[in-house]
Amino acid sequence: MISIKNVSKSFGSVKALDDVSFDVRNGEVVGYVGLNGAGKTTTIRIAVGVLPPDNGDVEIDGFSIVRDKRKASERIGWIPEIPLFERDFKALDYFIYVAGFHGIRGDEARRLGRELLEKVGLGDAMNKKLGHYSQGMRKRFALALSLINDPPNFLFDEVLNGLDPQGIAFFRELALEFKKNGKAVLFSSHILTEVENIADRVVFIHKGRIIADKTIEEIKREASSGGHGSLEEYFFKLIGVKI
Amino acid sequence: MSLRIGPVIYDLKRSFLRISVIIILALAVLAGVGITYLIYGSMASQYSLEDMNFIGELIIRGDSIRFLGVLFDSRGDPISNARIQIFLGPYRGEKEIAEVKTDDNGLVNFKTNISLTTLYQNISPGSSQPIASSPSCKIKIIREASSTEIQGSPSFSLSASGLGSLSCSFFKNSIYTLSSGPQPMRYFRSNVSLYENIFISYIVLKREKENLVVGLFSFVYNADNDSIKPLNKEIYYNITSFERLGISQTIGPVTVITGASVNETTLRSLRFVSAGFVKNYFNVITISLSKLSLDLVRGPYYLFIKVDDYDYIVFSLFNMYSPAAVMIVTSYPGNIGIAFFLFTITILYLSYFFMARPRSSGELEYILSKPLTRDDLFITRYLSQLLTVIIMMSIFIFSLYTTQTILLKTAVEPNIMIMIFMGALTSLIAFLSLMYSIATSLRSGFYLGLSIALYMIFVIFWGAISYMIGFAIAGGDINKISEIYQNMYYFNPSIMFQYTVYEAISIVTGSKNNYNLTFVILSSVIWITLPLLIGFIRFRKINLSS
Repeated sequence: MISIKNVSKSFGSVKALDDVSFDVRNGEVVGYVGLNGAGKTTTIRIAVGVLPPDNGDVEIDGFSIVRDKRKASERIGWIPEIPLFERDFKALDYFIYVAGFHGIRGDEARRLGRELLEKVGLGDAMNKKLGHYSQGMRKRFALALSLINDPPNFLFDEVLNGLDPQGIAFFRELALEFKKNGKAVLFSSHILTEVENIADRVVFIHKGRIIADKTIEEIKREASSGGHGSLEEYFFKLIGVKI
Repeated sequence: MSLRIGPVIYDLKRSFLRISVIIILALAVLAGVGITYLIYGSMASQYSLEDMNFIGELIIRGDSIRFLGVLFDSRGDPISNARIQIFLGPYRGEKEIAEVKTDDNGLVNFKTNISLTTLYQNISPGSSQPIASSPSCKIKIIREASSTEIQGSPSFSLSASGLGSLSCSFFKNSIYTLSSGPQPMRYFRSNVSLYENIFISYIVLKREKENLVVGLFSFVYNADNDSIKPLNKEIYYNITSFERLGISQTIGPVTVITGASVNETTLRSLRFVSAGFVKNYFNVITISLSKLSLDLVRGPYYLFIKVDDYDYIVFSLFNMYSPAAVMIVTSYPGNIGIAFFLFTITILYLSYFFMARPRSSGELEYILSKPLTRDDLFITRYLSQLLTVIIMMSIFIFSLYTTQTILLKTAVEPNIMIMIFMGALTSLIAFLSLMYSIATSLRSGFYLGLSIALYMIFVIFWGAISYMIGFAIAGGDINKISEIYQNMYYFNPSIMFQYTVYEAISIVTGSKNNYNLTFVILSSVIWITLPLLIGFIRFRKINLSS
């Protein structure tokens, strides 16, 4: 379970997040929707511990990402929109290196690396340098790294951007599989039809503030009563944009 | 903080096993080996690389040539049956005039009646002039497969009888003895006996606990009847430090030697101890340090040998370290300096590669989503670079030590080597802390610019900057400039390396190291901890995204 609690973050004079709070429960896929610059990626970067919040905290299965970073990070996987890895590493070597932070070393790390890279479809590219990976390959590689210890919580940040239909289907199915396995999944995306298809609940963020947190059933109910058929129309109505 | 050792080892592997790092290490090792070869060449030209010492005199009178010498090893044992060829003539045009062999006592005592004119005509047919100017004499010592050439030091000072005689002194000591001793010295007692001259020379061979073993070659030459005889007199010794004689030697950027000459007043203040009668041409005498109440730790010292009275005293500089050790250690600013120069480039590069570049391009962000903290990441990468530097320096020092041992058949004491290793390492760690700290705080382009500038300032131009500041402050006062130059290094990360190198030199040469160890330690601690602390605090807060 991922609990985002009263998180605020500013970059200089710009307030990126303002008292953001919501939960992602186990066995649930939560869509995270907002315009560019609304604060989705900032929320997720704080949730995975790569960016410290100014205020508030994020708990991963009860462990604070601020105060108990190692334990919290053991329980979370992250697939960023544009994953950046040290480009001179070969994929398998980097996997072994990262596995070291999970306490997995040597032959065990190598075996697991081969297995997971095969699983995410990078079996033929595991000895290629990461600098030569395409965006889609890097996302798959981030997934493999996230699966090292099979964490119960996942954060997908605009993961569908830049992917071909096959890639989109891959990650859609993956999110559903995670849900089936009882994992908590936060799925941020611009492609609202995909969110509509896989999410149980949607959290709407606008200008750094959470403006709605509804289940798909609630959204559909409100949309049909208000004459807004789709998630997209519902979202635009929420933020006051006419199309 | 519980650091995972796996990533440290992995970072170490990809840090140390980089082609560029290995090439730099290879270059450093090659430089070390190359300079050791240069030392070897320099040693070969000045000293005998064999366990062999020779002292001799060639005396050419109007109608005779006399050659007297002794060949002995570092224990003072005579070397018999060695062939000695004697050459005479213009420089580089010397011709062999005789070949003799050392007897069971290692002695050569050769005389032939041949006039100078005849000799010169033998050397330069057609010329009627005697050897008068620029004469050159040399000998060649042939022992089994080896051959050692010794150039003589010619002198005309034996011409008390007005016969236009020539004397040549030959002296070669093993690189492994403690002192080269005085060149053969001749003293003329013209006011006592016109033609009775004493020849005396020695080599301090080794130290055995509280005793020094000295090989002493001496004889009395009577120019009146062209005869020689052993000294057969009681001799006395004294060892006195430079300090006692009011002589100081400073090892630093500028070597300053100030002090007093050894005059008769000084000599008469010394307490001489008898070494007994010298009955043979060559004697091994033992000098008791306990009798002189001396505890020899660092040189240089003067060793005085006195015969009968104060008219006959020879003295020479003498160290507790062999010429080999002195040559090796005084080469360290050069060869270890090159390694230091190269390794600081490696540090600059590694800090760029492991911190500045991935941090500023956002490549470190993803790792931070893994079960580690920013502190772990900062320390993991610092440790891996630290270990790389330790391994590089260890390999370099080990290769240098091994090369010296194999090639020069000697090496400086391990504790001196360890001291320099620790000094260089400490300074490299200071550079690492500085570069790493900058790498955590600046974007890669700025990092490269600033780190290269700091490298240029601290490693390449610091000496010139220090001298310029010295000149600006002290004008033409060379001592003051030297002091300023030295003190400037307290503000340089390489201070500990600087200190340990000069300390090593001061140990083997007996010179004074003017660096203040407390300040050196303080400076090093600040250079290591302060940048690291700043970098650490900065890295905790910095945005790691691209």
